[in-house]
Amino acid sequence: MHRMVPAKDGSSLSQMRKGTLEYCVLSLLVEQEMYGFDLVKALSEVDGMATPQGTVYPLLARLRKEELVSTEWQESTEGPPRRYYRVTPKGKRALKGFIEEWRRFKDAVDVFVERAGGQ
Amino acid sequence: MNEPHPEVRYYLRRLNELLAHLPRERRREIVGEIEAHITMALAELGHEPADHEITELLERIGDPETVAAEAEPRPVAARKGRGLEIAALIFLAIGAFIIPFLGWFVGVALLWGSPVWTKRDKLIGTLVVPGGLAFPFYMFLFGGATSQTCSTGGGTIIEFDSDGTRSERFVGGQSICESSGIPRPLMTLLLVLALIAAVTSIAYLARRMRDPNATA
Repeated sequence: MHRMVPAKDGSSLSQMRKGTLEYCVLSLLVEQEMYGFDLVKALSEVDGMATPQGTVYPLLARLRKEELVSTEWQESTEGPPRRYYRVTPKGKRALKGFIEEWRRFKDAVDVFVERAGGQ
Repeated sequence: MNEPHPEVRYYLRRLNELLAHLPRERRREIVGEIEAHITMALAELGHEPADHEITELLERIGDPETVAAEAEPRPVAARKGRGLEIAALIFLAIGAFIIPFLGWFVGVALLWGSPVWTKRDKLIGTLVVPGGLAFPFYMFLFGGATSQTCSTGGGTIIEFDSDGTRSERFVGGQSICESSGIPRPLMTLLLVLALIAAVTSIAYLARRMRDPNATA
């Protein structure tokens, strides 16, 4: 597992990450409910999503405030109870909307990028 | 969990400071989740963490400034100028001289109305020192004097001679004076402390106005 290196702020890559990270989080949670810690681990396993792990937690708090995710306290053997995250129906709808837009966007960008790649 | 490592404690405290502008519950949520993350990560190590392992873990999590930046930012005033804030500081400091007594309250109103300062800043600005510089000033004027209450005893003695002649005699009494008030040296000390406190509080607000991340 590689070390996460935060991208320089303002770079196009970090901006793209910021915009899409919440949907990556929602996608993971739709697949399976989990603790924040496991979510962060899953994110960092994918190359290219290198944001500092800590930044996921304010994001999760915001998603919870916006009612896209909900949490439940779960007893844990290793200490105090922890939050268990799951997607709400509202979150599922938001994700669905994003996926449609993302596919269209991705395909469009690819059209131009492939052309440049050929040069 | 064992006593948290000092580096972890410092990290969480710094994070907590940087999120001070958030509603308490949200701040606790974020800091709590990160604390839980650290606990889990250290537990996974399976052994007592070495110092460098803790440093690495905290680096992977990201420095507190970066993490806090992901939370909703402080609602800094959309307007560029800080005219209102400067007016607030002026009225807090010397408002009571400009408009007797009420002037300081104008400063307080401007202070609390501004989005630039956190609630903690505003409390400091209000309680340290009420009345601003007028407080030590009036202490200087009135507190230094000791008051004296003097009363004079004595009265009139009326005597009757054996042949019935009535005479009056005034017998002067003692003048008894009591002085009350705070002893001079103590008053001077309190005055200086109040002056320093008032000036420091204004300077603190001025600094926080420019750099929201400056610690006290």
